[in-house]
Amino acid sequence: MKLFHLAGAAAIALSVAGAAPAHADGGGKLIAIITASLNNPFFVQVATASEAEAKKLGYTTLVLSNDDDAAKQDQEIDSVIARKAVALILDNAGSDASIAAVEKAKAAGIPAFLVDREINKTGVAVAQIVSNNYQGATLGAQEFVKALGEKGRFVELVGREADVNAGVRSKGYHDVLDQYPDLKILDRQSANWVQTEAYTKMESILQAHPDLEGVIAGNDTMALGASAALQAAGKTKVYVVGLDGSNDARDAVLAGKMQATVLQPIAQIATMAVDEADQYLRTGSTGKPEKQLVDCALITKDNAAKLNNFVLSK
Amino acid sequence: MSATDSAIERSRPARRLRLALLIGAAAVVGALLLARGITVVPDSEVANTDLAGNPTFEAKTYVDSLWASQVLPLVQDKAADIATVLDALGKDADAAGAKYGHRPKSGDGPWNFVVHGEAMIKTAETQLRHATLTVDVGGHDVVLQIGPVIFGTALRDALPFVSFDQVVNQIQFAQVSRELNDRATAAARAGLDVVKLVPGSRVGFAGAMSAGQPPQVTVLQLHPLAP
Repeated sequence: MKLFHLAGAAAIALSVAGAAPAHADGGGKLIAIITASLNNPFFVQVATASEAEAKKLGYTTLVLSNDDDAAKQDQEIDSVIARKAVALILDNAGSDASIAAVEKAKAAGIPAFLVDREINKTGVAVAQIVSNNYQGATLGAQEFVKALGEKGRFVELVGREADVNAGVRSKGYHDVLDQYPDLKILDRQSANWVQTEAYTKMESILQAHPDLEGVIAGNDTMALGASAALQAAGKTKVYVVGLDGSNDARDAVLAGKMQATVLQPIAQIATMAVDEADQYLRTGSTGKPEKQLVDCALITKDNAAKLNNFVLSK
Repeated sequence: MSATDSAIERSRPARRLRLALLIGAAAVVGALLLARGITVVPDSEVANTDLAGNPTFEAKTYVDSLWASQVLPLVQDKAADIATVLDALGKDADAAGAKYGHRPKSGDGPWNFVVHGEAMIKTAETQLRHATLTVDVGGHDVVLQIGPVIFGTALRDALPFVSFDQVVNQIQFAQVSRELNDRATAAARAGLDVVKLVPGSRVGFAGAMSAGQPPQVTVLQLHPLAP
């Protein structure tokens, strides 16, 4: 009910404002932004990009990090409610564990706009905007195959198995790679998205398979860990592909230490989420379906120089 | 009459009422099933289930239901001339997309077009799994993907009657694309001698194009033309 009141109030405010400009009419109201661990530049960008867009539209912001901890996220939702935020931008701490948190915000009349990660329920958040992980993975795999000349021996490093995106990306990789009978997978291990873990895993994989020709990793941090281990072992001709589009991966691509990465346009996603929140507050509708997929882009030596902070300039 | 007896007395009509309601509900559900044209499928034909017990999505069955009835007629009747589309794209991509193409509402990807054309082959990579012909269309380089491996989702995303809303998640949506691509390749390669596709020769083709750089066509029909 409160949602309807809110939408109604926004509609009235709009009609009273009349010829007010479509933008910058946030009127200083509060948009809360909760992102995941700030140790990863990817999640920092979620906060930075949504905060910038919210301020541009005339809102004030409250930026919090859930540190991938659902209990911490739950407390933060309480304070977001207490602060009477008008909307919530959320990179959530778990696709099942976060359903209740989003439901609580909704019950308190705070519409939620999810970015980067989905929750396993529809009709609770107003929008769920995620990058097309599967499409991104197929782009990376296609480039990997091209570099290997459609044949060779490779290793796959998978993300944290409990994370849906780890499975989706691996599926995207295999749907491409498995179509090539001359590509042989030597080993497939999880390095839990972690750079140091990828480094040690790669060291031991190299003992067993010194003849490997490629490494395809579920994210950039693992790709960077693998790349460092390969460099240390003098294996400078091994093709390494990652996914995320971080500045570190960009630099590795430019230096020839990685063949490619795939950009998840998280800055664009965060900006879209704030724009949709603004539209929803003004009109009662985002005009978009709840679940929205944003395409990823392949980053190679050809375009890596144009990549900065998860934005690929034209 | 004891309190217990009266409770039983009261409960009898209640039970009868519940029974009547149940029968009524079953009849309504049955009628709805019939009205919506739902078919009862024998156990042997029921789709496989995943670990959680949910039925797995059968992309093949889904595409079966579209291929002859909707996909082929769309290519046959609605394909735009590729040179016209490329010229329009060069002037105003969004205007060209709105006029000749389609873009899924759930995404922000490039426009996709169902196209046909005739062109000269500039380079041919027919021995690769991702086999391609680069052709010249009025001065534009266009990559014709002739499979068996097809990159991208141009065909799926060019179809106005296929959308992300119709499936549960991005994996299933991808399976639809893969199935469509496999069929396109099978259709394009049927009876085709790829060895004859050499630079300098001409081909006629139809398929789905995504507006990238260079534009790539998932080919659905392909035939050599007389020189």
